Amino acid sequence: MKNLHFVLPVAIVVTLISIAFLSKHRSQGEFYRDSCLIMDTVVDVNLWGKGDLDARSAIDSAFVSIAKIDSLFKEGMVRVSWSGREHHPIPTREVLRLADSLYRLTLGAFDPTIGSVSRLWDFSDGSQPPQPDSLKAGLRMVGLEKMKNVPGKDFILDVGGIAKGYAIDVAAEVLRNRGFESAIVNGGGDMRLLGKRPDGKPWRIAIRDPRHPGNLIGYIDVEDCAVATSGDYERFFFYEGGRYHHILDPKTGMPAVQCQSVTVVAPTACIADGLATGLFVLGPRKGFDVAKSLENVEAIFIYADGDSIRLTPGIQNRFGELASN
Amino acid sequence: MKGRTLAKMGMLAGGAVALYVFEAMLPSPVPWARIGLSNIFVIVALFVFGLRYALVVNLVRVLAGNLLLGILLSPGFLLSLTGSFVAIGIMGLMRLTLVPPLSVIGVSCLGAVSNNVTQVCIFAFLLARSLLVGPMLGTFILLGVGVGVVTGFVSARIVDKLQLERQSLLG
Amino acid sequence: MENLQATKLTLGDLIVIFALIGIGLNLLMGRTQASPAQVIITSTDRQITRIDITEERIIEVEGKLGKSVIEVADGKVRFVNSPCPHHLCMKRGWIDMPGDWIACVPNGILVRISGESGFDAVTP
Repeated sequence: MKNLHFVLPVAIVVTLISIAFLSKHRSQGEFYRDSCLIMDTVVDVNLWGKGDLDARSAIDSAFVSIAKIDSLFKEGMVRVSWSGREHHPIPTREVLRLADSLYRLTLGAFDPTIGSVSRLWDFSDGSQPPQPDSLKAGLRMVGLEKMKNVPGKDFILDVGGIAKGYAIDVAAEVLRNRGFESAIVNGGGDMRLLGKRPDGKPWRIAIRDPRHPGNLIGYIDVEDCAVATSGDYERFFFYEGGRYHHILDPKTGMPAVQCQSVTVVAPTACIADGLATGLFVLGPRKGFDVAKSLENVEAIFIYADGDSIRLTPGIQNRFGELASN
Repeated sequence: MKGRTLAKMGMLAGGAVALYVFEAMLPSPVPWARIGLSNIFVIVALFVFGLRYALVVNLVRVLAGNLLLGILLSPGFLLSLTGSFVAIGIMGLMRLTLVPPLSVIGVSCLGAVSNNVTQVCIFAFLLARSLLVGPMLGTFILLGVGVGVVTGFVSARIVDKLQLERQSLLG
Repeated sequence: MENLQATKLTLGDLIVIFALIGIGLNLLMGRTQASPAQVIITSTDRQITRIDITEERIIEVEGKLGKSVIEVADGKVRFVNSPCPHHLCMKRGWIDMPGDWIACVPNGILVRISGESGFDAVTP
């Protein structure tokens, strides 16, 4: 019997130690997911958390914060002059500031002022490229430098992609501030990944085959970052044997032709989206050098021929190829 | 003797709670799934003191354990509660009636498996609203057998010790 | 005295253990074939329609702008028609991957194939 009297205190001590350990080391929690049609796409929020109410309300506030930002941009466009930008709400100013840095990072290949040309393009079936005259007139209003030089004049900025990225980032921050450590905010393939998977492994993100969107070409294992892809297969039409897609080169006002898709890993979804567009326009040679020179940025280029693929050094050992079928 | 029984019960319940909480911290492929090592204490209670005591130890274990984990009345708690009571019921029956005699190990296996099966069924039909239970059930039955053998073996050693003690006290 | 031998494995134990392992393996192997994935169609008012992807069906779903026509056939699903301006949903063609989706955003209709793709997300 003596050793039984010894075991009882030991059991209590073990219980207490377990509780102390547990309070520091909370388990991974349960999986929650919801999607919402917003920003012209499907936004998916996946998160792992404890407590149903907490998770549900966090997802709802994430959607609300996205809706607020979305309401500031009409079809991804905003009409603004360089001097007048200060009168806009904070998210708009923030997006314009980021657009300016992206313009510089991509050597002008990402240029928000492309808006006055992209609104000439209609990517519905049976449409045609814009007339050369109107294209020329539109191009006169393209160039962030021009905008800065004529600070009083209104320009049409196409910030659809990066505004979407910005909204995703804001939503992800909402989740992070609420204490969620493992979450994905995915806006139609532009996504911000918080932390790692709840099992401690990196997130595994698949990349679509640009010509067979039902297939995947490969995947990347990444954590605590953002991923975005610009592909020529999202909006396009055929006209007289030519294929016209929605990623326009600000120099020519015509679709950029060197890639089928560019996937970018960057710290935020806004940067990732802007860089994906810019690097797509720059192509797999110039774009590759730019991507390589940037810290915390990796890129995957799929060439226009669809056969070659080029990865920046930092992503090579985190990329896995998938056999196509 | 009554005081001693109470002390032993307290020890068993305390140990069960400690292991229960500890298990919850171990990584698990499925949310709410736990190995089930804390069943050792319930099995010991069942074999040494009887069914009624096992039920008490189990109730304390699940209530106190989930209270300490802060997930009282969560789905995981309900699964654990129903699963463990079904398991004890079956173990109690098996201990009394089966024709080829079962040792603690066999009873423990049946207990672990019935616990898992109950939980998977409740999970599948009530919570996940899915009927795709076959492979999941198979996995959990196999896991149950494995865990049941281990917990059964450990429990058996403890039961032997306690029985021996009781015999010597009576004698 | 008979309980003192609790540690000893009996014939009954072995029968129980092997029977349970048999049942477990049988369930695991015999029906590893998952039940067919479902096509989950959500419209704006959160009304949800579920169809087994193995069915052959064409269904009409009422959305914000009008009726979208969705076809399920050969384990695939697609938008046949939708009253949206750019028809991005129709251009997407057939999808068949678990977890994949097509949306007609203007009409507020989301078509998703149930199940897990084995990836945490797909880009784009």
